[in-house]
Order: sequence, then C-alpha cells, then structure tokens
Amino acid sequence: MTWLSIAIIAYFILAIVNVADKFILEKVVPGPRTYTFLVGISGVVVIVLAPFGLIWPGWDMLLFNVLIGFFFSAGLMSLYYALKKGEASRVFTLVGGIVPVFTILFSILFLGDKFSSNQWLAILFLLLGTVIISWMTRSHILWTRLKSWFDDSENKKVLVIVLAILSSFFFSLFWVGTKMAYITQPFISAFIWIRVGTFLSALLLLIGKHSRQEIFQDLKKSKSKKNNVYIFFGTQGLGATGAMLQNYAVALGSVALVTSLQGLQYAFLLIFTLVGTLLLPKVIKENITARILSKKVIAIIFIGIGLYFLSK
Amino acid sequence: MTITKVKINLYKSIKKPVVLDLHDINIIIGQNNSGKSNILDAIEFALTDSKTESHIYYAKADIELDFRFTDNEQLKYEFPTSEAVFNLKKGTRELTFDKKTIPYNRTLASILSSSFKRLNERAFLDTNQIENDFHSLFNYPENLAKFRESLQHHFPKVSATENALDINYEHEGLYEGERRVTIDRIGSGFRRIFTTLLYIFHPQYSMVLIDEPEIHLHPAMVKKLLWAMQNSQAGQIFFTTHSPLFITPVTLIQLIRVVKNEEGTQVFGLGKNNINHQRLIQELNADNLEMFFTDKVILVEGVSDRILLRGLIDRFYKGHRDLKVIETHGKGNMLIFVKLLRVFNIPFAVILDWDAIKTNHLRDLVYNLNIKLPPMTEQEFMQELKKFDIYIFPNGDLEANYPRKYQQREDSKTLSALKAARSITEHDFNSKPMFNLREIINNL
Repeated sequence: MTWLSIAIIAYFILAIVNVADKFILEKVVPGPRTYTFLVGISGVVVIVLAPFGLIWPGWDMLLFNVLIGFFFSAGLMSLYYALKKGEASRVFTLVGGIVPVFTILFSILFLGDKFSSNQWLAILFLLLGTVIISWMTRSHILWTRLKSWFDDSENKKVLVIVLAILSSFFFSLFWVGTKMAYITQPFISAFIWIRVGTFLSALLLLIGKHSRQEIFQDLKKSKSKKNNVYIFFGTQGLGATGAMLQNYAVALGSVALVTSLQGLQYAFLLIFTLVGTLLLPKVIKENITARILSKKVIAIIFIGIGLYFLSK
Repeated sequence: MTITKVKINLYKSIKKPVVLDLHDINIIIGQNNSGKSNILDAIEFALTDSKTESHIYYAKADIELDFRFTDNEQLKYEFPTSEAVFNLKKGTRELTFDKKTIPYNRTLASILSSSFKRLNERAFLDTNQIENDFHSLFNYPENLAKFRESLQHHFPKVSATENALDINYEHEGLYEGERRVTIDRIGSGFRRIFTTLLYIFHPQYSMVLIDEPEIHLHPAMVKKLLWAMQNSQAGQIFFTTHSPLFITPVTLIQLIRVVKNEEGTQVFGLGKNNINHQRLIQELNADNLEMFFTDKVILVEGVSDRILLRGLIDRFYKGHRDLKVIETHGKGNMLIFVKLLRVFNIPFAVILDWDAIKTNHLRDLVYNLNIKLPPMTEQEFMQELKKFDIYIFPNGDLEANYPRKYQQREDSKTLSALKAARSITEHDFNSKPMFNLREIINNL
C-alpha cells in the first residue's frame, strides 16, 4: 500500500474521531488542559505495540524522540489557548493553513526535501481546499460548535493569531521531527517513544496547581458519566489507529505532502455532515444553501485536484 | 553415547573458548586452514589417552564434552545417570555425573576410546581394521541389513558378502551383478562409500568423525551419502566438508561454520537463534546456499540486479574476494537472508532500490544490524549506510544506473540486464551514469 492510500485512510478515520471528539468536548471534558492531559496520557496506550518492535534507541535518539513528543503537547496546548482566546473557526483555519506551510519550509530546511512541479501544484490545491473548508466551519461543521464553548473576544485577535502561529510552529516541528525519527529508526519503536514524550509532557501539566485542580475536577465529573468515559477511550483507540496510519504515511512518504493532505480530513467531515443532514435532519440542523453547497463543492474539488496531482 | 555440547579452548588454532551445541549429524565447513579438522581432533584428543596415541600433546588444552548415554550404556557401564560431563583440563581427564566423578582409569579410557571412529585418510587405507570391523558388523543383523540396503542404494548392482574386502578372486566376496569383483578393482568411490557406510551403521561406534567424506565421490553419490547419514539413526556423525551438496535447508541446523581470524578459530551455527526455519526452507536453494562457501555475499532485490551485478563483477571487479550475488525476491525478504548471514558470520553487502528508503524493511534491517544513527536527512542516511555495506541507489532502481542505450524498449528488464552484463564497455562502466554501480563494485 502506498503512503498516499494510507494517508487517505488515516484522514478518514481521523474525521470520524473528530466528530466523536466534538461530542466528548461538550459532554465529558470541559477543560482544554484536561483534554490535552488525557490525549497525552492516553497516547501512551501505544505501548501495547511494544512487543511488535520497541527497541532501545540509545540515549541520543531517546532524547530526540521525547523532544518531538513534547512539541506535540506544546502544539496542542497553544492550540487550546488560541481556541480559548479566539474563535474556533479562525484558529482552525490558521492552524490548518499554516501547519503545511511551516512543514514544507522545515522539510526543505531540515530534511533536504525537494518537490516536483506536480507536488507543488498538489500542495497549492490542497492548501486552497483546506482554507476554504476551514473558513466554512464558522457555522456549518459539527465541531465549530466548540466556539460557543470558549470565550470569543474580537479584541484578542493578535494574540489569537500569535498563538495559532505558535501552535502551527510546534505541530510542524513535531511532524518534521517525527519524519526525521522515522528515517533512522524502525517505525513502531519511534512511534512509541514519541508518544512517551507526549505522555511525559502531559504529566508536566500536573505540576501547576491551577491546571492540576482543573484536571482532577474534570476527571471527577467525568467519573459519574461512565459511558462517556468509555466513549472517550473508544474514540482515543480509533484516534490512535488514525494517528498511527498518519504517522506511517509520514514514515513512508513526504511529511510535507502528508500534512498538506489534512484538508482531506475536513472534506470527509463535510461529507459526513451532508450525509448526516440527509439521514438525521433533526439532529444535525444544517442549513444548506446553494452558496454554502457551492463553496463545499469547490473545496472538495480543490482537494480532489490536489490528490490527482499527488498521485501522478 | 552422544555428545550434546562441546567446549574447546587452547587447542591448536582455538585460542578462545569455542562452544557448540551438537546434533546427531554435525556438518563442519570453513576455508582451508580455518580449523575445521581441529574440532574433530579436539574431540578425538579428549577421548583418547594421549600417552598411548601418537598425538601432539597440548598441555593447556581445556575440553569439555557433555555426554548423554543410552539406557543400555548406563546399565552396562554402571553409570549413575544418563548424563555426564567429561573434562580434560591441564592434562587431567574425568567424567563427572550429578553426584559422582569417575577418574580417567583404564576402564573409562577403554570405553571412551572405543566409542568413536575417526575416518581420516589413514583410516580409509587401514584395510585390516576395516575388514575386522566389517566382520564384526555381522554380529548385528539389523545394522548389517541397513548397511547393505544403503550400499545397494548407492551401488544398485553391487552386493557384499562377509568376505567383501578379500581381494582373493577365489573366495566369495563382492559381486557386481553376477560377476565376481574385488574391492581393489571397483574404484575408490566405492571403497570410500563402503567404509563410510560401514562405520555409520556399525553399532560399536556411537560417534563417527569423518574428514571430507565427499572425496572421490560423484555429486549424486554425495547426495545419497547425505541421505544415508540423515537416516542412519545409528549414532552421531561429525564431518568436515568443502562440498555445498551437504548443505540443504534441512541440514542448515546441523551446520557449523568455522572461521579463523586474529583471535584464532571461531565457530558459528544456527544454535538457538530465532530465525524462522520454515522461511529459510522456503527461500534457500542449491544456488543461494553457495553463500556458505564464498568470501562475501551481495544481496540484491531481483533477477535483473543479480544478472547485471554478476556480469559487472566478473568483468570489472579488481579485488581478490570470491563474491556471490544472491537475489532475495524483494526488499521484504532481505532481512531473513541478512539474519542467516549474520548468524554464520558471512560478510555481506546489501543493494537496494531507492524506494527502500520509503519502507520499514530498511529500518528493520538497520535495527537488526544494530546500526544506531542520530537524526539525519534521507540523503545523509543513505550516505551513512554505505559504511555498513548497505547501498541504496539514490536515483531510483538498477535501470536508472546503467546507460539507456543498453535498455531496448522491446526488451524486458531482465533481458536488458543480461545483454548489458555482457556488453557494457569499460568506457561506459567508467562513465557518469554508472557512478553508483561502479562505487559499489569498487567497494566490494
């Protein structure tokens, strides 16, 4: 299987997880620190893969892997702070658009990547598609309801942009570092060690008294909703599968191209929403106008063209 | 009586302890002067009282043999248990059971020295001894029947009576069909087979140590002899050989590869290694098993790579090593070959297409070779791997690495490689498009 097909499957799974995440964020875990903490902690479940290839990478590579894991947590934290200060759709648009750009720059800088003209065209179309989709998230995509959940203050625009850029910076470093880790190490081993890094950084959240209290209180609340906790860990399992496939695609292919494909995840979300609106119109109150529909179609076409150029 | 394990140190070329887990059949291979025969010599030396035999005395020799005795032997010699360790250290021999040690007295010396037969050139010529042993085989009808059956399997027309070794025409002896023949007229191969089979099936000798049993034998005979050895179920066999015919996927577990370096003689075998034996049986064949008799193995992905590499090595390789090019049928199969080569300490190089860098097979390979590298780019990684004899074509596959004029559109990749292997000129070999292949060949 090629890296492209693996990446497509990965983003399909991650789109499903995205829908579930929205449900979790609203119903079970009310705090971003708690969510970051749980994502970081639960990421360590990949240790179950240890018998299938975990190796001691040596101290140098261990530190490198752990550092890459830290970048992920840093990206996640910056993202949630950005979401807290600003409007979710804007934050996601910025992050969705900037991560591939930073990743391309870093991959040229640190990995010596070179792209063909077809790949550059693919990147262009994928980015356009991603940005269009992200802008539409304002009111028409399930997880944009997040915005009602955070404070949305227009006068914090600059801070939001800085935080979103910071988040993108960390995520891009994470991805390029991840690729670098996969170049010289067996996939499973590097994948696990990086998650150990994220796990350790999630533990750091417990150091601050305020965040510790927030996390413990949130966890206490969630205890009374056992079913939801199961859903949380269920989606985390699915998320881990998606993330693993996404990482495997990175290991096999170009990290810049895999991250550029993130728009595909939003495209799948759009399709889910459309299907959901048709099947369950009462639950998903989507207001599909011709204008919105045309935007969605344009975005999906752009992503489709991007995919076409990638597969050439 | 069988030896289950042997430890040898400070004997002839063995300067560091050599430990071998032994089987019913033990096939010892290695270059000339590597110390193959020294392993047989060491066992013989330990089991024979050196004062009465014409051995050079190795005062420092430290040899340990783990024995397993049959129920009959245990009863006959009144041994307390079926397992014991025989030690030769500082010239002192003793047999140690769990709770009892038997000193090397005349009885023990007699038991041990008569338990094995060393079949070297001298023994093959000792017709009196062979004749005596042949006569005594008639005391064991079951073994005699097996011997005759096996001899007939090798030489269908020849039958042997009790006086088979008698060269007097007037006595009843050997028959080729209806015709009376004598052993001295029948060819050295027959004599060799006759003697080898005699001792393999002779119950008095529970261990047979043979030096190069393939000498004078046609390859088909070697295969039959191997079959006879594998199915004799009579005793333990040790032999040294230079014949690849004895190496099959099945006998791989019995293989001991002997190597001599600055540290003296060292041995390598599958032992308890976790190589998937079933996979080896699937992958190994008469051609690639030659890897055990070469100086260096070059592992390539496919048939085109093998053909072109072989041709280029034959024509342009300036080194003195004997090189064997083996195709692994894909990069996913490289690891099983690499594991096998590592276990037997056979030097090797790996050549992969560029897309290997995009697979986990390469990382598994790198991990298996215990190569630990810091974070780096793919280009640096490929460069670094050359130090470990892993070459990745940085510009694609084999076809991207020799001039297009040798690759006709109507030809398959294999046919192009075949033609190019014969017709690439020295000028083209030294040209820029062949830089990668030239670099590999020059580094071999």
